[in-house]
Amino acid sequence: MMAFFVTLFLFHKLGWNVAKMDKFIYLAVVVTSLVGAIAFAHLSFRYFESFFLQLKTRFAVLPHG
Amino acid sequence: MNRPATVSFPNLDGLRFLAFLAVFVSHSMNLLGYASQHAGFNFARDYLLLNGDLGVNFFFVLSGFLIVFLLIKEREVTGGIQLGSFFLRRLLRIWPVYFLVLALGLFVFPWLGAGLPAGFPLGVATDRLNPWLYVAFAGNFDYLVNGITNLLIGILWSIAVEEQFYLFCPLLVAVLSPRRLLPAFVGLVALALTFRWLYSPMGGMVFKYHSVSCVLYLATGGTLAGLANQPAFVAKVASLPRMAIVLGYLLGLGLLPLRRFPWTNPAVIQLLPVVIALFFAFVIAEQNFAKHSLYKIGRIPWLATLGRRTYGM
Repeated sequence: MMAFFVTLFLFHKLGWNVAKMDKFIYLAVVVTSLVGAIAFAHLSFRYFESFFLQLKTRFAVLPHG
Repeated sequence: MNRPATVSFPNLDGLRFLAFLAVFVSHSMNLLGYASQHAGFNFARDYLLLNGDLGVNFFFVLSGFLIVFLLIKEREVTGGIQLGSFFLRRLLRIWPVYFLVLALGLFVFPWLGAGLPAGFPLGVATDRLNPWLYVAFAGNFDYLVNGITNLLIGILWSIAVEEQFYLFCPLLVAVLSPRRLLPAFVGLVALALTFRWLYSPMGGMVFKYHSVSCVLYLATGGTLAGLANQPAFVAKVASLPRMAIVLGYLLGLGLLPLRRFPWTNPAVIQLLPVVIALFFAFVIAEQNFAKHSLYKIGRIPWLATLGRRTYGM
């Protein structure tokens, strides 16, 4: 949802009409948001969550993957 | 102590990404305000793509299954449940991303969205929601009390439901004998169904967002985990013929368009989610244990990687 908001916000700042979008703007919003969400998830996993996940592993009673 | 090999379900990560994608597509159709004039597109949107919200329900069944399965294994191997370690693991897995999203939604996005025009598709105002309910992992009750007012924060409702389930689920596994665990989870399913029938016979907000109502999906996953610890059940799933598996998928996926009809019969409204929960349990069981699957999603490694990366989404 945040990826949608950021994409809409940027497109709005670029002067695109996101309040009444045509199919090309809609597709651009969806694709950009998806790529953005996956990129954010990847960066978050690598540089933010991984620290906590390493800690979590220390408290694992059973090894699981 | 008898230490088991690593407990791993490689096919579930790929399924997790597909569920994320389904929710993403559904949200894009539902919330961006795009109106098409094309009848074919509108039909696909109304009867197929908007069903993507069921990805959240799939996450519930999946979480119920994984959490209960691991707890049962832990008790089998160690003779008990280390509740402190369990809660600490859940905290480390969920809280960092949860509070990051909450902080962005409460402080950063309202500031960004301050000057946006009235017709902007997503509202970011926080004046009508109760932030403390989100801090206390009770965001689904904010939906029920104040309505859906801010979707950037509101999406945390499903994490709240899962966290509430994690509070009592390990206690249940720790206290009940293995023989009583399966009936207990079936009982939880029955409790959720009774609650739904009494308080929201025609569907609606309580039906979709109340914790007791959502237990239907989490307890279905828990029931599957209880069954998955019985060798006879696993053997039965393992020997399912391919034709039966294909039939299961056709029936389950065939249900999706039906779900979007404007039903007026409360029996149908109540029954459809049960069948959907059972279908999701079937998918998880089939992907994990069946020997004659049509296709194991774990064969696509990048899908599994994306599933692990988008866990926090």
